[in-house]
Amino acid sequence: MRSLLHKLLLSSLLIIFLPMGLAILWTSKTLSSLLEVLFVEKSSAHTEQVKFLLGEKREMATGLVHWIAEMPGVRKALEQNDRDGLFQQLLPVVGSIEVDFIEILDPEGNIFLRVHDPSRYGDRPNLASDVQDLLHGVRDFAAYGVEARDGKAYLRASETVEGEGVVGVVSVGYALNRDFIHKLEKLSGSKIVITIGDRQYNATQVEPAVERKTLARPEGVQSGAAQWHRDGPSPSLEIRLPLETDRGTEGVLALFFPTLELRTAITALRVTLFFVALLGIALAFMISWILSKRFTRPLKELAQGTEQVAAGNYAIEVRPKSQDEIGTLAASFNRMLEELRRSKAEAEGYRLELERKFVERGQELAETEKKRAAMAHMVAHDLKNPLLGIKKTLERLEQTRAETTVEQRRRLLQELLSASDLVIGMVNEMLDLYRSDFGELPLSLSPFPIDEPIQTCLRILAPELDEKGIKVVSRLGQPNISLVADKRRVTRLLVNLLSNAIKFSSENGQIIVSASLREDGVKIAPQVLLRVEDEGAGLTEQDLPKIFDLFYSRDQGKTDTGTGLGLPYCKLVAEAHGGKIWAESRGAGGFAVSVLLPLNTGGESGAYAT
Amino acid sequence: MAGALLAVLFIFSAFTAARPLQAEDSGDKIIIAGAPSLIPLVERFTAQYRKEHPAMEIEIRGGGSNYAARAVRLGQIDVGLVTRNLDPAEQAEFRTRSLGYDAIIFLTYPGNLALGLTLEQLRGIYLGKITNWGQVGGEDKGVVALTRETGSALRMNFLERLFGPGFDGKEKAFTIRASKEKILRTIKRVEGALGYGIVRLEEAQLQGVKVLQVDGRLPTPETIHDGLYPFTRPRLLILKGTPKEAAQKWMAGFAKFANQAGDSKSGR
Repeated sequence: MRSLLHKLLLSSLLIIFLPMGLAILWTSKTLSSLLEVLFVEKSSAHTEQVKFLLGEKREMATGLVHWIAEMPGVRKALEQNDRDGLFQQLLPVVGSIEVDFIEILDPEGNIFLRVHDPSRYGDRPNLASDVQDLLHGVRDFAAYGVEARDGKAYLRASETVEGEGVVGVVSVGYALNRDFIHKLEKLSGSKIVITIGDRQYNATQVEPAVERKTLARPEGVQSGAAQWHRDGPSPSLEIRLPLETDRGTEGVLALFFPTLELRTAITALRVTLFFVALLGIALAFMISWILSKRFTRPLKELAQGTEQVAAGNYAIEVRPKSQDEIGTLAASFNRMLEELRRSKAEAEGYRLELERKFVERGQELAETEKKRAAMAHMVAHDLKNPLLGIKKTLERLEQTRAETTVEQRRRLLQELLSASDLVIGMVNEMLDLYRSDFGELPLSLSPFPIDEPIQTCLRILAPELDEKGIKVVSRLGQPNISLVADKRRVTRLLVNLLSNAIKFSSENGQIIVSASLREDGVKIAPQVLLRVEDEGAGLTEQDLPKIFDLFYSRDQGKTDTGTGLGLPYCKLVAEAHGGKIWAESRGAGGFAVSVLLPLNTGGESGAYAT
Repeated sequence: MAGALLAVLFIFSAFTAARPLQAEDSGDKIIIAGAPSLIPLVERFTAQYRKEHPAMEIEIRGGGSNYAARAVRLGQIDVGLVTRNLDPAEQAEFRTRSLGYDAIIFLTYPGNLALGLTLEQLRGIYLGKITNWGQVGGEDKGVVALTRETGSALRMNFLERLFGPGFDGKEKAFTIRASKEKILRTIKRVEGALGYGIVRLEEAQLQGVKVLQVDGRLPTPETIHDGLYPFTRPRLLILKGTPKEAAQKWMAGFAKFANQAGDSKSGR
């Protein structure tokens, strides 16, 4: 019940409820009062009609008495006391004009003839003041008044019959509380009560006047003053009509318009409005339900999407249906998801790469380990040969101590020395290579002519050269080329290069060792190019750069020839001197290794002096 | 132009003038007259009859039964309307056609306690011997007797029936000369009133006027038809000699119409 949907629903319903409730309340009130106003207007119109009819009656009564008083036969009959003659004269009036009584008084105030009851005469009724005035000759015009007599209320007009003096008074009356009132009630649709003096008359003839306290006194009554009687068994609207006569306001004619129908109409109206309100609320509920659902659905989807993402599922996508802020939010959410997916994929890529590299490195390590093992074996093997030679020579020296000459002995010692040098050289090489793993190779630089290491080399390698019958051709491009280098290491470099060349040269082959100056413009200091060429098998182009790698063996161990440390050592030495080493295949077969070493430009040996 | 207009006028007038001439030639005009109580019925029928026979000219006059007898005798009218018994001479002279009977009924004011009067009491009242309703079973109230104007067939009929033929005196009553409705209203409004008229029982009762029994009999359609009610009178059409064809045709239609109307509205 705490969801956004319900909140939206509740708030929208509240928003609708309040104005609608107020509107309906207001409408109900307004319409009710409007109906009441209309009812009052209608009732007033009816009252006006009743008033008009009363006025008409008055006119008629006044006219009639005047007419009767002027009839010559009437005067004559009165003068002659001819009651039957008078009646015969007035008889046609009875059937023609609807009046309730025509009465003729003699000058004494006794009833001479009542046309509607001709057998009654001689009575002396209580005469109204205006009638008395007429009899006494105080008034000489028609008098109009309201008169109560025998439990009936009459509208009465009177006129004197003039002969010699007043010979009589003619009165014509309408009983208010009889047929006339029935007619008025039928016409106006109301109930009529007449108040005259302290008595009341209504349309039911049987019922005599009954005192009713609720009704107002005649005084101060205004025409059309409406008064609601909402309670009681028959709720009604009372409109009062004063009975104006020549004597002033003599009574009140109260019209009670039953309001039961009005009440029913108002109730029906309220019920209708109530149902309209109910319908409206139902509609509003439906619409706001649908709308709220529409609004909150993308939010719900977003929430679900977020939960999924939190659970680690990046594959989902929220479809933004709306163009509003929620749609934008959904779109950003989707972008965020996209980003997440991408970075996750990247991370995965890195992980795989790392794994691959790890495996690679493992393989490399294993290979290096293998090579190291092979090298250890080779080193041992390489050291074994010269050491065996030294041992043999020493044995021979001992066996033949007696009979050997000094010359022989000197030669043997020389052999021993060079063999020892060879071993020491090899060990030094290994040490240098080992050292190079930890940093710079410490050099002890000195100037010396290039001839010196070449000659030392040839001496050291004399036995191998002799053995294979290889001729070494030394070509110096310029005489007295001098170097500034570590003499011992350069010598070892040359030994390595030459022994390599010897190794790959065939019997009675030729090896060319050349040295020349090389100047490459101003930037680079002039260098010495040393070059060792053989006429051996040579190498393929792919193998050329690899030959300077540690543990690379030119024949991959096919023939038992060397540690494989030779050329890497050469590279190490050349680079330690700031030089360069490279190999190339010669077009006509064979193999050349070139080394660039620093030239002694101004040393005490005087390279350019000679 | 003026000549042409004159010619048109001449032709038009000749054409219009030709019609009454033609009607008179063929005897298509009839005159009907007599008892006023029958006139309304005659008028109602004739209005309808004229529509069906536009060529026929019908004139209707009042005059009463006596006038009708005299006029028919003299040939002044074609059909007479009579509502009294014919004397033997008249019976011999006229050809008659009966339209049934109606009755004179006695009416009084609504508050009268008396239920009815005998013929004797009625005579007493109209001769001025009885002046109070208390003498005939009513309340103590003076009797106001009403009669019709002299020369009215109804009054003649009434006197003849009450006092016998040849009554030559004058009844003691107030004369009222007015329409049936006015007479009913007057009787209703005047306390003590007694009057008579050709009125149907229901009609009188509907107006709020009380109908008195005569010799213990109310003028119901049955008592009138059977002749039990004393003041029953015939309704007759009278003709003399060989009537016109048109008059005969009209009379046949009217007799049929009157009998039909009499069935539903008896006593006219």
